[in-house]
Amino acid sequence: MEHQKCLETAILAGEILIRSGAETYRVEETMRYILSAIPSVMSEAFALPTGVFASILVENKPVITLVKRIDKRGINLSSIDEVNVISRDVVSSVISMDEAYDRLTSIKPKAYSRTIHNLSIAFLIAGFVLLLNGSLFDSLISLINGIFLILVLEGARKIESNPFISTLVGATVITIGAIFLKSIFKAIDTDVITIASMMPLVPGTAITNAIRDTLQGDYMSGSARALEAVVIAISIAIGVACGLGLLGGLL
Amino acid sequence: MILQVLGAVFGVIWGSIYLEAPKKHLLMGGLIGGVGWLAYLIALRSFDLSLSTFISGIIIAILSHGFARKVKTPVTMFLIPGFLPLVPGVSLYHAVYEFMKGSSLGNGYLLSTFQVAGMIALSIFVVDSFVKILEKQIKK
Repeated sequence: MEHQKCLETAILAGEILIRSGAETYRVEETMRYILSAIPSVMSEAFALPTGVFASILVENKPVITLVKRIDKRGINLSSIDEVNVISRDVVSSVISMDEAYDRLTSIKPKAYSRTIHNLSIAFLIAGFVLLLNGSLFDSLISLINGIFLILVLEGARKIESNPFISTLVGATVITIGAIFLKSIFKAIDTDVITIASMMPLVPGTAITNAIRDTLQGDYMSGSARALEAVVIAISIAIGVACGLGLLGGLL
Repeated sequence: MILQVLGAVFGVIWGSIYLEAPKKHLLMGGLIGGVGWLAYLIALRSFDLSLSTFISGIIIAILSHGFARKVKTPVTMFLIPGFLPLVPGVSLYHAVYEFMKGSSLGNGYLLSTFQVAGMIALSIFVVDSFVKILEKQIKK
């Protein structure tokens, strides 16, 4: 039954990687790598942004195939790092296949607490205000706008809305927020604060992964991610337009 | 300019936390983001928006590959946070702003949004391909 455990481990590793936003070729490579840990006649791994597949054929045994459908995708660089370490350990026989499976199941879905994660949104915005040549005062005020965005994203998480809507509403709120803050603190730069506040929403990850997938010849994943980037960009654009439109008289 | 680069380091470190990067790699990611943004600001003095993005992108991608190899972690760890400052949010915002005002300036901004995104793609493409060729040569 060793080969079945090996297959399960490979599928689990692939699933975690896809969920964490790894590039497709890395997912397939890691799965193949794990499958290579035991001798087999043939083993193959295949990954798409929506699912992973793997099969293994060992001598005198029927071929087994596992398919895993993946619905939720996000980004979690820590998980990618951990799976990378585990896969390397299992192939170099530092740990057994069972241990590898247990370690994979015990990977935490979040590397930081929710509070830190939310704080990171506000501080990310404050940092980007400075990066865009805003003043320290702008940066300080942008934290308030960051709190608005955190509230929207937290709300979206609670009602489990789709990313298109939460991005759109988020962009609307930060645009209105920046104009609102301008009416209280006259000295701030509305443009800089709005752009910086958009940063947690922009599809940086999708763009980067789309290019790397396409470059590897994974056109299916590449085009899916490119489309994802365009959709996110459009929802930000519509959101900002809504915000500006609602406060049209103040432009 | 120092404040801008510090802002980039600060922003990218918190951006990495937002992307759930492991603690041990945060500082390195921040430094890559800072160096990349410094390169962008310097390049912007003599070149236009897209070429500056390309130059900065090349530097970020090379540093990411180098650091990732050194600490044995996937390149994504540094590549995604490192490129955050370059993502064309500025042009996108200005394009929407001008369109909402009914001004035709929006077209120019929209074009530069695509140009900057394309340049990010090109820089990652160039460095990735180069690294692949290099790896093959070393293996031989």
